[in-house]
Amino acid sequence: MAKELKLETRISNASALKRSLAFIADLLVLNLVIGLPFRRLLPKGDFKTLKAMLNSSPALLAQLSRVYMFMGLLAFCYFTFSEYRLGQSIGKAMLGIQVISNNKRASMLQIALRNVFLFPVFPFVLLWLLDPISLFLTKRRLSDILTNTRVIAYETGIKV
Amino acid sequence: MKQELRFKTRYFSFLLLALILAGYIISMLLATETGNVGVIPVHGTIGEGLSGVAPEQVIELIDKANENPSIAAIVFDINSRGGSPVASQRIVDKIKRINKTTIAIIRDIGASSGYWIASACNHVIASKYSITGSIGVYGSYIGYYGLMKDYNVTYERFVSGELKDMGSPFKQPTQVEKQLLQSKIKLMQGYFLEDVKQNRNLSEKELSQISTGVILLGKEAKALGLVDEVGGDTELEAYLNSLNISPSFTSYKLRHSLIKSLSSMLTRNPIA
Repeated sequence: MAKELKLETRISNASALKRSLAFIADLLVLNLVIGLPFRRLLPKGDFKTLKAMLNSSPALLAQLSRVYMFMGLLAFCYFTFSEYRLGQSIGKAMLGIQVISNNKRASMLQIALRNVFLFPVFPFVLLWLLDPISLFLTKRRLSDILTNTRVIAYETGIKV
Repeated sequence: MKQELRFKTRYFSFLLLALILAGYIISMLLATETGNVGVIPVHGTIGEGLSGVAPEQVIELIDKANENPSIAAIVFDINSRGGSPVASQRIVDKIKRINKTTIAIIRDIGASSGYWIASACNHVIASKYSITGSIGVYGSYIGYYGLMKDYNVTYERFVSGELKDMGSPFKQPTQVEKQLLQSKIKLMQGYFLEDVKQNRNLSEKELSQISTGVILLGKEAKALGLVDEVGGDTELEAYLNSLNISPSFTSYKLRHSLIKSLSSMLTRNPIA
């Protein structure tokens, strides 16, 4: 007599690799969506050229910071609105991972706080260094730990 | 499952569209505030007419660029055959008061007061094909007196002084009137030449060579000291680099009404 097969869904912390790939996919989306309208405002050339440009006009730094702040704000809106409503951004949806808090949907405040690293201002920029370190050590970003959120992966397999 | 996927697709589409729209609106609002080199166009006849370059607008743009602390240099992109001396002088005077580096780049044509504006800048670049020079003044009018005579139309003249209706197209100018009008043209030419001489630091010999009002190509103008460099955008960037300005250009645009745009289409510069 044939054994009955059942589908089983297991939930676990998303791996650092999956999260990194999801983030890269989101960056590609943001590059198109946000990068395109702002492209004409950003200086062209490499780091050396940019440095020379800022040296010749120090006030330009303030103007460029403003542009980067607005770009950060739009990226923040992208992650916050998609993760709050759906629990995932496009990248996360592609990789099958989701943001939760205590096995429930995370609140708007939690989602917003875990995404503040997108604003290019101190002290949030410190998270650009601390988040990846924490992710590779504990499978959770420092922002996840501080906001009590988790990024989980669904794995569906056959239960024998 | 299918419904959930449809909802997600719609949600993401809406979110991305909203972000693109917001991005474009914000970038438009920030448009004039980035870049370290401001570019001001001087395209068309200089004057207050419909198809002309209104001095008020150019002056407004100069103020905007001059007050922007991130702008290190201002480039005047010139494509003009000249125009009203008074309107041009207003622009020239304003350029002289700019406390930043000013550069003129002459495109197809930068003649007469179009060149006058260029001469007020710290550095002048023109293509070897650019038409420039034509430093001088002219005045003309169409006289109808011959036509009137043919049709037996008379000009009844009542004047408080002998020269009051000087320049009227309905009567033949007298010798005295002709001499007087010519002397005014000469006077204006003198002012014009003197200003160009000062702006470009020209010698009397160089001045005498351009005082005929001759048009010159970029290379000829360079030989006579009217232009500093023969070239275009590459030379402009190189010059800015030599001033330790790594350029990121910001265009300051003149406002054009619909009537003005249609009018400029009809009076487009035929030299290409």
